[in-house]
Amino acid sequence: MSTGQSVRAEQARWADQGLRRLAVLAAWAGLTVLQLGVALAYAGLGTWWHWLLHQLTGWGLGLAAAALVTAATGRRVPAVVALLVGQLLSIVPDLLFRYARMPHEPSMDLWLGHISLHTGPSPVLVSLGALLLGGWGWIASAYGRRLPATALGTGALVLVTAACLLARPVPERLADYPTGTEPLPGRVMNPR
Amino acid sequence: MRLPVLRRRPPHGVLLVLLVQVLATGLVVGWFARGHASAPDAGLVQLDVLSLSEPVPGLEAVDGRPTMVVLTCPELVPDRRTLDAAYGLVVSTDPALAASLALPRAPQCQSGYVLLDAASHVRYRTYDPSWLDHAFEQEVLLGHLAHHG
Repeated sequence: MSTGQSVRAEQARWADQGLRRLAVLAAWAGLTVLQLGVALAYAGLGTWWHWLLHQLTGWGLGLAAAALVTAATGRRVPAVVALLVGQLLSIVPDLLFRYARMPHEPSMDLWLGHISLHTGPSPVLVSLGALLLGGWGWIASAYGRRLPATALGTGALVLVTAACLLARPVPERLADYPTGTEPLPGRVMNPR
Repeated sequence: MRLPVLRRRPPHGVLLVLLVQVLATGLVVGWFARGHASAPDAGLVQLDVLSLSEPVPGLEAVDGRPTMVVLTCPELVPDRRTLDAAYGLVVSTDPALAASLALPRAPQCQSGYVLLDAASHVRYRTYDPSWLDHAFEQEVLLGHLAHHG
C-alpha cells in the first residue's frame, strides 16, 4: 500500500469512528429528551407521585429480571435495555389512558403492580427499594457474581410482590374511603 | 492506595445504573423534603379507577349527562370552565355534601371531585387541588361513563 492510500485509509477510519460516536451521542441525547418528556407529561397531569412509583418500580424490576437472566444463563442483558423494557411495562396502563382513553382497572396490576402499588405500604420507599435492589443485582451480575445477583434480583421482585399482596383494595363504596388522610398538597389554585 | 477493583474500568452500564439510582434517590428525598406523604390520601389520589357505583341522596347528574361535582371552599370557586360542555359540571361548597362524598377536607380548600354517570350514581372520587388544570383526565373518565356506562 502506498503512502497516499495509507493516509486515505486512516482518514476513512477516523471518519467512521467520528460518525459512530456522533450516532451514539445522538441516541443518548434522544433518550434523555424522551425521559424528560415522560416526566414532564406526568407532572403536567398533576401525577408526579405516580411517575415516581411507576418509573422507579419499572426500572428496578427491569434490572432485577436482567440480573436473574444473567445469573441463570450467563448472557448479559444491557442495562439500558433492562431499564427501558421495565419502564415500558410499568407505564402501559398510563399509555392506554393517554392514547386509548381507557380508565384504569384493578386487573392492570398485571403491569408490574400498576394499581396495588398505590395502596400498598410506603409506596415511594418500596419503589426506591426495588430500584436499589434491582440495580445492585444488575451490577453484581455485570461483575459475574451470580449468587449476590440472584439474591438481590429476587429481593426486588419479592419486595414489590409483597407490597402488592399487602395493598388495600380500591374502595367500592364511599364509606370505604379513609377520611383522616392527608391529600396531595399540590398547588392550590385561586382562579380569581 | 486504590482498591484493585477501582483500577479496572467498570463493566459497561454500571455507571448508568449508579447514575439512575443516585438521581432517583435524590428525587425521593426531594419528595419527602417538600412534606409529601409516601401515599397521599392513602394512595387514592387520581387513581383513575371507576370503582364506585353508588347513589347519593340529593346528587343528580345535570340533564342526564355524566357530571363532575367539584367540592371546594368559597375562596376557590372558579369563574371559568375548563371541562368540555358535553358534560355536566357542579361546584359545591357544602361541607355536609363534601363529608357524604368522603371529601371532608374540601371545605378547607383541599379541593376534590366526584364523577356521576347518567344514572346519577357516584362512580369516582378523588382529591385534586389542581383540578382546573386536569380537564383531559376528567374527560377521559366522563367519556368512558358516557359511552360504556
